[in-house]
Amino acid sequence: MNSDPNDLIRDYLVRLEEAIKDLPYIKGKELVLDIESHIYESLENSGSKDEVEVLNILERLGEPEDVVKEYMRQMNIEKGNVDTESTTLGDRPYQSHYSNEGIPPWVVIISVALIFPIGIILLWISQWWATKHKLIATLIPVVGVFLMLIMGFGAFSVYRGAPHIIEDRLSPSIHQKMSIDTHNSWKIERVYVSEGIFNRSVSIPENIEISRIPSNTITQGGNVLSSLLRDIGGLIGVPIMFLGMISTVFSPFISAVYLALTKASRPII
Amino acid sequence: MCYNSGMKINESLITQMRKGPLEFCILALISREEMYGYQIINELSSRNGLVTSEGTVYPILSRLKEEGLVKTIWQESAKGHPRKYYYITDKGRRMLYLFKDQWDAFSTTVNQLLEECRL
Repeated sequence: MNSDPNDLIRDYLVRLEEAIKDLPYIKGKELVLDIESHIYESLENSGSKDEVEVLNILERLGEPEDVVKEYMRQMNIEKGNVDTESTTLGDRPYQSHYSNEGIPPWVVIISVALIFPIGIILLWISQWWATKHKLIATLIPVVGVFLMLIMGFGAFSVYRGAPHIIEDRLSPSIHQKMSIDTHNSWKIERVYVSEGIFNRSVSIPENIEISRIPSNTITQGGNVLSSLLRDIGGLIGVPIMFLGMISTVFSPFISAVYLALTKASRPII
Repeated sequence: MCYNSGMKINESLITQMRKGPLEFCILALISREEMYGYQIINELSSRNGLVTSEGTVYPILSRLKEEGLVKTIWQESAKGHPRKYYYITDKGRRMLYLFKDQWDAFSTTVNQLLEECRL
Protein backbone atom coordinates (compact mmCIF):
# COMPACT_ATOMS: atom_id res chain seq x y z
CA MET A 1 0.00 0.00 0.00
CA ASN A 2 1.70 3.12 -1.23
CA SER A 3 0.53 6.61 -0.31
CA ASP A 4 1.69 10.00 -1.42
CA PRO A 5 3.72 11.51 1.47
CA ASN A 6 1.88 14.80 0.94
CA ASP A 7 -1.46 13.03 1.39
CA LEU A 8 -0.23 11.57 4.69
CA ILE A 9 0.71 15.01 5.95
CA ARG A 10 -2.55 16.50 4.75
CA ASP A 11 -4.60 13.78 6.44
CA TYR A 12 -2.72 14.38 9.67
CA LEU A 13 -3.37 18.12 9.53
CA VAL A 14 -7.05 17.60 8.68
CA ARG A 15 -7.39 15.45 11.79
CA LEU A 16 -5.60 18.10 13.82
CA GLU A 17 -7.88 20.85 12.47
CA GLU A 18 -10.85 18.72 13.46
CA ALA A 19 -9.47 18.15 16.97
CA ILE A 20 -8.71 21.81 17.72
CA LYS A 21 -12.38 22.76 17.42
CA ASP A 22 -12.66 22.46 21.18
CA LEU A 23 -9.85 24.97 21.76
CA PRO A 24 -10.11 28.76 21.71
CA TYR A 25 -9.87 29.65 18.04
CA ILE A 26 -6.56 31.53 18.08
CA LYS A 27 -4.88 29.00 20.36
CA GLY A 28 -5.95 26.17 18.10
CA LYS A 29 -4.56 27.91 15.03
CA GLU A 30 -1.30 28.53 16.85
CA LEU A 31 -1.00 24.84 17.69
CA VAL A 32 -1.62 23.86 14.06
CA LEU A 33 1.06 26.32 12.98
CA ASP A 34 3.52 24.82 15.50
CA ILE A 35 2.86 21.30 14.26
CA GLU A 36 3.00 22.32 10.60
CA SER A 37 6.33 23.99 11.01
CA HIS A 38 7.60 21.00 13.00
CA ILE A 39 6.74 18.67 10.11
CA TYR A 40 8.37 21.10 7.71
CA GLU A 41 11.56 21.31 9.76
CA SER A 42 11.64 17.53 10.17
CA LEU A 43 11.45 17.04 6.42
CA GLU A 44 14.13 19.66 5.85
CA ASN A 45 16.45 17.81 8.19
CA SER A 46 15.79 14.31 6.93
CA GLY A 47 17.64 12.84 4.00
CA SER A 48 14.62 11.47 2.20
CA LYS A 49 11.11 12.76 1.90
CA ASP A 50 9.50 9.45 1.05
CA GLU A 51 6.51 7.71 2.55
CA VAL A 52 8.46 5.88 5.27
CA GLU A 53 10.18 9.04 6.45
CA VAL A 54 6.88 10.95 6.63
CA LEU A 55 5.24 8.07 8.48
CA ASN A 56 8.06 8.13 11.02
CA ILE A 57 7.82 11.86 11.52
CA LEU A 58 4.06 11.64 12.09
CA GLU A 59 4.48 8.61 14.33
CA ARG A 60 6.92 10.50 16.55
CA LEU A 61 4.54 13.47 16.74
CA GLY A 62 1.78 11.26 18.15
CA GLU A 63 -1.92 11.20 17.33
CA PRO A 64 -3.31 14.67 16.60
CA GLU A 65 -6.15 14.02 19.04
CA ASP A 66 -3.62 13.25 21.77
CA VAL A 67 -1.71 16.45 21.07
CA VAL A 68 -4.93 18.45 21.48
CA LYS A 69 -5.84 16.48 24.62
CA GLU A 70 -2.46 17.34 26.08
CA TYR A 71 -3.05 20.98 25.18
CA MET A 72 -6.36 20.97 27.03
CA ARG A 73 -4.74 19.25 30.00
CA GLN A 74 -1.94 21.79 30.11
CA MET A 75 -4.30 24.75 29.84
CA ASN A 76 -6.94 23.28 32.15
CA ILE A 77 -9.57 23.43 29.44
CA GLU A 78 -12.47 21.28 30.47
CA LYS A 79 -14.26 19.03 28.07
CA GLY A 80 -16.64 16.20 28.76
CA ASN A 81 -14.52 13.41 27.37
CA VAL A 82 -11.10 14.64 28.42
CA ASP A 83 -9.36 12.12 30.60
CA THR A 84 -9.10 13.89 33.93
CA GLU A 85 -7.40 10.94 35.60
CA SER A 86 -4.12 11.77 33.94
CA THR A 87 -4.00 15.15 35.65
CA THR A 88 -3.72 13.78 39.15
CA LEU A 89 0.05 13.58 39.21
CA GLY A 90 0.64 16.67 37.10
CA ASP A 91 -1.64 19.03 38.97
CA ARG A 92 -1.01 22.50 37.73
CA PRO A 93 -0.04 24.89 40.51
CA TYR A 94 -1.04 27.90 38.45
CA GLN A 95 -4.50 29.19 37.73
CA SER A 96 -5.24 29.01 34.05
CA HIS A 97 -6.67 31.94 32.13
CA TYR A 98 -9.39 29.79 30.75
CA SER A 99 -11.31 29.38 33.97
CA ASN A 100 -12.24 33.06 33.72
CA GLU A 101 -14.85 33.48 31.05
CA GLY A 102 -15.77 37.04 31.95
CA ILE A 103 -19.22 38.46 31.30
CA PRO A 104 -21.74 35.84 30.15
CA PRO A 105 -22.42 36.28 26.44
CA TRP A 106 -26.20 36.53 26.80
CA VAL A 107 -25.77 39.55 29.12
CA VAL A 108 -23.74 41.21 26.37
CA ILE A 109 -26.33 40.41 23.69
CA ILE A 110 -29.27 41.74 25.72
CA SER A 111 -27.34 44.88 26.69
CA VAL A 112 -26.49 45.57 23.06
CA ALA A 113 -30.17 45.28 22.12
CA LEU A 114 -31.60 47.36 24.97
CA ILE A 115 -28.91 49.74 26.25
CA PHE A 116 -26.68 49.98 23.26
CA PRO A 117 -23.75 52.16 24.49
CA ILE A 118 -23.26 50.04 27.61
CA GLY A 119 -23.75 46.87 25.59
CA ILE A 120 -20.99 47.88 23.20
CA ILE A 121 -18.56 48.50 26.06
CA LEU A 122 -19.38 45.08 27.52
CA LEU A 123 -18.97 43.56 24.07
CA TRP A 124 -15.43 44.89 23.68
CA ILE A 125 -14.49 43.62 27.15
CA SER A 126 -16.05 40.24 26.43
CA GLN A 127 -13.94 37.33 25.26
CA TRP A 128 -16.71 35.60 23.38
CA TRP A 129 -16.36 37.33 20.02
CA ALA A 130 -13.58 37.79 17.53
CA THR A 131 -12.49 41.38 16.97
CA LYS A 132 -13.94 41.26 13.47
CA HIS A 133 -17.41 40.45 14.79
CA LYS A 134 -17.15 43.07 17.54
CA LEU A 135 -16.29 45.64 14.91
CA ILE A 136 -19.21 44.72 12.64
CA ALA A 137 -21.68 44.71 15.55
CA THR A 138 -20.45 48.18 16.53
CA LEU A 139 -20.66 49.48 12.97
CA ILE A 140 -24.21 48.30 12.22
CA PRO A 141 -25.77 51.06 14.40
CA VAL A 142 -23.18 53.55 13.13
CA VAL A 143 -24.57 52.88 9.67
CA GLY A 144 -28.00 53.33 11.23
CA VAL A 145 -27.02 56.73 12.61
CA PHE A 146 -25.56 57.62 9.24
CA LEU A 147 -28.91 56.83 7.66
CA MET A 148 -30.53 58.99 10.30
CA LEU A 149 -28.30 61.87 9.20
CA ILE A 150 -29.44 61.27 5.61
CA MET A 151 -32.95 61.31 7.01
CA GLY A 152 -32.22 64.72 8.51
CA PHE A 153 -30.89 65.88 5.17
CA GLY A 154 -33.99 64.52 3.47
CA ALA A 155 -36.24 66.32 5.89
CA PHE A 156 -34.27 69.50 5.47
CA SER A 157 -34.57 69.16 1.70
CA VAL A 158 -38.32 68.80 2.00
CA TYR A 159 -38.32 71.88 4.15
CA ARG A 160 -36.26 73.82 1.65
CA GLY A 161 -38.35 72.59 -1.22
CA ALA A 162 -41.52 73.90 0.37
CA PRO A 163 -42.57 77.55 0.14
CA HIS A 164 -41.01 79.58 2.89
CA ILE A 165 -42.97 81.64 5.31
CA ILE A 166 -40.95 84.27 7.03
CA GLU A 167 -41.87 87.03 9.35
CA ASP A 168 -40.08 90.22 8.78
CA ARG A 169 -39.98 92.92 11.36
CA LEU A 170 -40.27 96.25 9.63
CA SER A 171 -40.81 98.33 12.70
CA PRO A 172 -41.45 97.50 16.35
CA SER A 173 -45.15 97.66 15.80
CA ILE A 174 -45.64 96.20 12.33
CA HIS A 175 -44.87 92.61 11.30
CA GLN A 176 -45.35 91.36 7.85
CA LYS A 177 -45.66 87.71 7.00
CA MET A 178 -44.24 86.81 3.66
CA SER A 179 -43.96 83.63 1.66
CA ILE A 180 -41.74 82.65 -1.17
CA ASP A 181 -43.38 81.00 -4.10
CA THR A 182 -41.93 78.49 -6.50
CA HIS A 183 -40.51 81.27 -8.65
CA ASN A 184 -38.36 82.55 -5.83
CA SER A 185 -40.12 85.85 -5.47
CA TRP A 186 -41.33 87.13 -2.16
CA LYS A 187 -44.90 88.00 -1.53
CA ILE A 188 -46.41 89.75 1.41
CA GLU A 189 -49.22 87.61 2.78
CA ARG A 190 -50.33 89.56 5.75
CA VAL A 191 -49.34 92.53 7.77
CA TYR A 192 -49.86 92.59 11.48
CA VAL A 193 -50.06 95.80 13.32
CA SER A 194 -49.38 95.62 17.04
CA GLU A 195 -51.82 97.50 19.14
CA GLY A 196 -51.04 96.86 22.73
CA ILE A 197 -51.42 93.15 23.38
CA PHE A 198 -53.64 92.63 20.35
CA ASN A 199 -52.49 91.99 16.85
CA ARG A 200 -54.66 93.31 14.12
CA SER A 201 -54.38 91.44 10.92
CA VAL A 202 -54.60 93.33 7.69
CA SER A 203 -55.07 91.36 4.49
CA ILE A 204 -52.93 92.31 1.58
CA PRO A 205 -54.12 91.87 -1.97
CA GLU A 206 -52.43 88.93 -3.66
CA ASN A 207 -49.47 89.15 -6.02
CA ILE A 208 -48.03 92.36 -4.77
CA GLU A 209 -44.34 91.77 -5.26
CA ILE A 210 -41.67 93.43 -3.24
CA SER A 211 -38.07 93.71 -4.27
CA ARG A 212 -36.58 93.99 -0.81
CA ILE A 213 -35.09 90.77 0.59
CA PRO A 214 -36.33 90.37 4.17
CA SER A 215 -33.62 91.03 6.70
CA ASN A 216 -33.85 87.72 8.57
CA THR A 217 -34.46 85.28 5.77
CA ILE A 218 -32.34 82.32 4.95
CA THR A 219 -30.80 83.21 1.67
CA GLN A 220 -32.40 81.15 -1.02
CA GLY A 221 -30.22 79.84 -3.79
CA GLY A 222 -31.66 80.80 -7.07
CA ASN A 223 -29.70 78.67 -9.51
CA VAL A 224 -30.88 75.58 -11.34
CA LEU A 225 -28.71 73.08 -9.43
CA SER A 226 -29.95 74.07 -6.01
CA SER A 227 -33.57 74.03 -7.06
CA LEU A 228 -33.01 70.61 -8.65
CA LEU A 229 -31.47 69.34 -5.39
CA ARG A 230 -34.41 70.76 -3.57
CA ASP A 231 -36.84 68.92 -5.80
CA ILE A 232 -34.94 65.62 -5.48
CA GLY A 233 -34.70 66.13 -1.75
CA GLY A 234 -38.42 66.68 -1.59
CA LEU A 235 -39.08 63.59 -3.68
CA ILE A 236 -36.84 61.06 -1.88
CA GLY A 237 -36.76 62.77 1.50
CA VAL A 238 -39.81 61.00 2.84
CA PRO A 239 -38.81 57.40 2.00
CA ILE A 240 -35.31 58.03 3.31
CA MET A 241 -36.73 59.52 6.44
CA PHE A 242 -38.74 56.35 6.91
CA LEU A 243 -35.71 54.10 6.28
CA GLY A 244 -33.55 56.15 8.60
CA MET A 245 -36.07 55.92 11.38
CA ILE A 246 -36.43 52.15 11.00
CA SER A 247 -32.68 51.55 10.90
CA THR A 248 -31.97 53.83 13.85
CA VAL A 249 -34.55 52.17 16.01
CA PHE A 250 -33.76 48.60 14.99
CA SER A 251 -30.00 48.63 14.41
CA PRO A 252 -29.10 47.64 17.99
CA PHE A 253 -31.42 44.67 17.59
CA ILE A 254 -29.76 43.78 14.31
CA SER A 255 -26.40 43.97 16.12
CA ALA A 256 -27.70 41.74 18.88
CA VAL A 257 -28.94 39.14 16.41
CA TYR A 258 -25.61 39.30 14.60
CA LEU A 259 -23.78 38.72 17.89
CA ALA A 260 -26.01 35.80 18.78
CA LEU A 261 -25.10 34.20 15.46
CA THR A 262 -21.36 34.83 15.69
CA LYS A 263 -20.72 33.97 19.34
CA ALA A 264 -17.67 31.74 19.69
CA SER A 265 -18.12 28.35 21.32
CA ARG A 266 -15.38 29.22 23.81
CA PRO A 267 -13.94 32.48 25.11
CA ILE A 268 -11.29 33.87 22.81
CA ILE A 269 -8.15 35.05 24.55
CA MET B 1 16.44 1.96 32.55
CA CYS B 2 15.63 -1.12 34.48
CA TYR B 3 11.85 -0.88 34.60
CA ASN B 4 11.35 -2.03 31.02
CA SER B 5 13.03 -5.35 31.34
CA GLY B 6 10.49 -8.10 31.16
CA MET B 7 8.09 -6.55 33.57
CA LYS B 8 4.78 -5.08 32.47
CA ILE B 9 4.74 -1.63 33.93
CA ASN B 10 1.81 0.72 33.85
CA GLU B 11 2.51 2.87 30.82
CA SER B 12 0.76 5.92 32.27
CA LEU B 13 2.98 5.80 35.36
CA ILE B 14 6.09 6.25 33.24
CA THR B 15 4.38 8.92 31.19
CA GLN B 16 3.47 10.75 34.39
CA MET B 17 7.02 10.43 35.71
CA ARG B 18 8.31 12.16 32.63
CA LYS B 19 5.69 14.85 32.47
CA GLY B 20 6.47 16.71 35.66
CA PRO B 21 10.16 17.30 35.06
CA LEU B 22 9.76 17.70 31.29
CA GLU B 23 8.78 21.34 31.40
CA PHE B 24 11.84 22.06 33.51
CA CYS B 25 14.02 20.15 31.09
CA ILE B 26 12.69 22.46 28.40
CA LEU B 27 13.43 25.49 30.57
CA ALA B 28 16.91 24.12 31.26
CA LEU B 29 17.54 23.69 27.54
CA ILE B 30 16.55 27.17 26.54
CA SER B 31 18.21 28.75 29.57
CA ARG B 32 21.46 28.39 27.62
CA GLU B 33 20.30 29.79 24.30
CA GLU B 34 17.09 30.57 22.48
CA MET B 35 15.83 27.64 20.43
CA TYR B 36 12.99 26.93 18.03
CA GLY B 37 10.44 24.18 18.60
CA TYR B 38 11.92 21.52 16.36
CA GLN B 39 15.36 22.12 17.85
CA ILE B 40 14.07 21.76 21.42
CA ILE B 41 12.27 18.52 20.58
CA ASN B 42 15.29 17.16 18.76
CA GLU B 43 17.44 17.81 21.83
CA LEU B 44 14.88 16.22 24.15
CA SER B 45 14.38 13.20 21.89
CA SER B 46 18.10 12.57 21.68
CA ARG B 47 18.09 12.01 25.44
CA ASN B 48 16.72 8.70 26.50
CA GLY B 49 13.18 8.49 27.78
CA LEU B 50 12.25 12.15 27.93
CA VAL B 51 9.73 12.44 25.13
CA THR B 52 7.40 9.81 23.73
CA SER B 53 5.14 11.80 21.44
CA GLU B 54 6.87 14.89 20.15
CA GLY B 55 3.64 16.72 19.38
CA THR B 56 2.77 17.03 23.06
CA VAL B 57 5.81 19.24 23.67
CA TYR B 58 4.07 22.13 21.87
CA PRO B 59 1.19 22.31 24.37
CA ILE B 60 3.79 22.46 27.17
CA LEU B 61 5.63 25.25 25.38
CA SER B 62 2.31 27.09 25.00
CA ARG B 63 1.65 26.85 28.69
CA LEU B 64 5.15 27.98 29.64
CA LYS B 65 4.52 30.98 27.41
CA GLU B 66 1.07 31.52 28.94
CA GLU B 67 2.67 31.60 32.38
CA GLY B 68 5.35 34.03 31.30
CA LEU B 69 8.23 31.60 31.89
CA VAL B 70 9.26 31.80 28.25
CA LYS B 71 8.70 34.25 25.46
CA THR B 72 8.69 33.73 21.74
CA ILE B 73 10.05 35.65 18.82
CA TRP B 74 9.74 34.93 15.13
CA GLN B 75 12.97 34.99 13.18
CA GLU B 76 13.86 34.34 9.58
CA SER B 77 15.96 31.22 9.13
CA ALA B 78 18.88 30.99 6.77
CA LYS B 79 16.65 28.95 4.48
CA GLY B 80 14.15 31.77 4.33
CA HIS B 81 11.19 30.51 6.32
CA PRO B 82 10.30 31.99 9.70
CA ARG B 83 10.93 30.10 12.92
CA LYS B 84 9.39 30.69 16.32
CA TYR B 85 12.22 30.92 18.84
CA TYR B 86 11.63 30.38 22.54
CA TYR B 87 13.72 32.15 25.13
CA ILE B 88 13.59 32.08 28.92
CA THR B 89 12.35 35.03 30.97
CA ASP B 90 13.59 36.15 34.39
CA LYS B 91 10.52 34.53 35.89
CA GLY B 92 11.39 31.31 34.06
CA ARG B 93 14.93 31.42 35.40
CA ARG B 94 13.70 31.85 38.96
CA MET B 95 11.32 28.93 38.51
CA LEU B 96 14.14 26.80 37.09
CA TYR B 97 16.35 27.70 40.04
CA LEU B 98 13.62 26.68 42.52
CA PHE B 99 13.03 23.41 40.70
CA LYS B 100 16.72 22.56 40.53
CA ASP B 101 17.03 23.13 44.24
CA GLN B 102 14.10 20.86 45.04
CA TRP B 103 14.97 18.26 42.44
CA ASP B 104 18.54 17.81 43.67
CA ALA B 105 17.35 16.96 47.15
CA PHE B 106 14.44 14.88 45.88
CA SER B 107 16.41 12.79 43.39
CA THR B 108 19.19 12.16 45.92
CA THR B 109 16.66 10.79 48.36
CA VAL B 110 14.90 8.64 45.76
CA ASN B 111 18.17 7.28 44.41
CA GLN B 112 19.39 6.39 47.89
CA LEU B 113 16.20 4.53 48.68
CA LEU B 114 16.24 2.67 45.36
CA GLU B 115 19.82 1.62 45.89
CA GLU B 116 18.97 0.22 49.30
CA CYS B 117 15.83 -1.58 48.21
CA ARG B 118 15.62 -5.36 48.05
CA LEU B 119 14.35 -6.73 44.72
